[in-house]
Amino acid sequence: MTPLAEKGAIAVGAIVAVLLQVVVAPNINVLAAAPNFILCYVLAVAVGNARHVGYVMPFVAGLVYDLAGSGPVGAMAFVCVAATFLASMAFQAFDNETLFIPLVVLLASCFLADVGYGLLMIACGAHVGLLDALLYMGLPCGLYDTVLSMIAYPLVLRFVLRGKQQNEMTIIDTGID
Amino acid sequence: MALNFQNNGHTRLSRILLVALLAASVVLMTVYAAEGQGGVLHKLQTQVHAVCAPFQMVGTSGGALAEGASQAVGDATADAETLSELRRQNEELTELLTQTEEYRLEIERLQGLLNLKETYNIEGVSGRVIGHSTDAWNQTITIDIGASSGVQAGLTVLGPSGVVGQVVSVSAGSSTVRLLTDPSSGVAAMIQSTRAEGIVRGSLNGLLHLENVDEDVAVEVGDVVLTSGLGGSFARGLLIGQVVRVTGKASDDTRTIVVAANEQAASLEEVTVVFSALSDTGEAPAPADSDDAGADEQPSEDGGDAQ
Repeated sequence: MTPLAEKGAIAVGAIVAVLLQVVVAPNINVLAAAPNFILCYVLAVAVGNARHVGYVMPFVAGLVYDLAGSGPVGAMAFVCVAATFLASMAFQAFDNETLFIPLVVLLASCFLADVGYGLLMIACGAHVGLLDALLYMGLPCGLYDTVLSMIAYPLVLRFVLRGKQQNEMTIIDTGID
Repeated sequence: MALNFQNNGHTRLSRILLVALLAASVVLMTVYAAEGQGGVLHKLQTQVHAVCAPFQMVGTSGGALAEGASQAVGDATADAETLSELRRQNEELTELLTQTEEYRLEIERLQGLLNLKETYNIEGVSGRVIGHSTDAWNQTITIDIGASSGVQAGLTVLGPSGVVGQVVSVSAGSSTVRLLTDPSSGVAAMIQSTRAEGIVRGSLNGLLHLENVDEDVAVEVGDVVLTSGLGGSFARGLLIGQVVRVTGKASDDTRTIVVAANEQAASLEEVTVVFSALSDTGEAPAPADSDDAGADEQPSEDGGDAQ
């Protein structure tokens, strides 16, 4: 896959995530927890493409989330960019070519991102306590997003990155680099 | 070696981009928080809501279909015990309806005799709920009526059984309503039986809390809570809900009063936007865009002045 085609595939995936967020997400809330398809997609791409991670798509996708929602504009954009950086760094640091590491990185990233978004909401003037934000939003939303990102991850590898990570592994293993 | 230099250059550019985008996000947040409801970012958000409204309508219809299918499966597989239970509930509801009708007639007679000034003629426009908030942190709904139907920011929104929220932003064909259950919502309220005033606020767990009630006022479970009209953001005398839990006693400054919301966002299908609620004397509620002593919500200015 050429770099241009890969960027195109990532952009198409982001558009699908935005559509899912606008059309589907409001109707599949579980109690107070609402899914964040955009965050899940951004993290799945960050882990799947950790060595060549980009920050523009997470920023734009997060911005669209902010504009489509009612929260402060820029908050989810910040969270998506920061989470992309942290997730890609963590994956590169701990990757041992098993499925365990990406799943752990996704789990930690989702919880961190949701809690971080909550902190930003409070910083921007939301009338909620820190504990309430953590208990009623951060944890349930983090759990929901973790499940979704674990579903999104193999889909992103298969349809967006087309097994890029596996190819890179093979190249590194054979010493071509 | 050359590859390493290339990688280092790419990494450096990537880090610069990362810092720039994080800084841009912070700038956007700061501008959003500092600007008023009529600011550029708020207006842009309203425009995006208008663009998203048709898509949300598709999602809501799909959600309703799925819910209907689930209900149909449940009905088809209902056993004899469930059916008998439903028959019993039907009888109870019929009895309750008869009793309620008696109360209604009695209230009408009393109102006629006492010429109560609190009798309102509500003028408004009804609309269908076409979308819900796309994020978990905001309790908002999107309705299919907007500025072209006369809707303005700041107007009170009624559900089937009372106040559900307030219009916060308006586009030509749709409006966004912030529900009472949103943590940012606040409405000046009074307890019907004691006339004690307070502020009803939303919370993250979806409950309404009645705050700022005088410590010496006794509040009982079942007390009806109405809008007081103070500040003018909400029309006066509209039902907010009933007290369902009181933790602590009167004279206890840590007392917590929980009010059951009229409607859950998920069950709202149609709402009425109140243009005016005129009393018998023709006295109209204060403009909705004025500062509300209890309400934190500052409605969008792009809808103009509310009634």
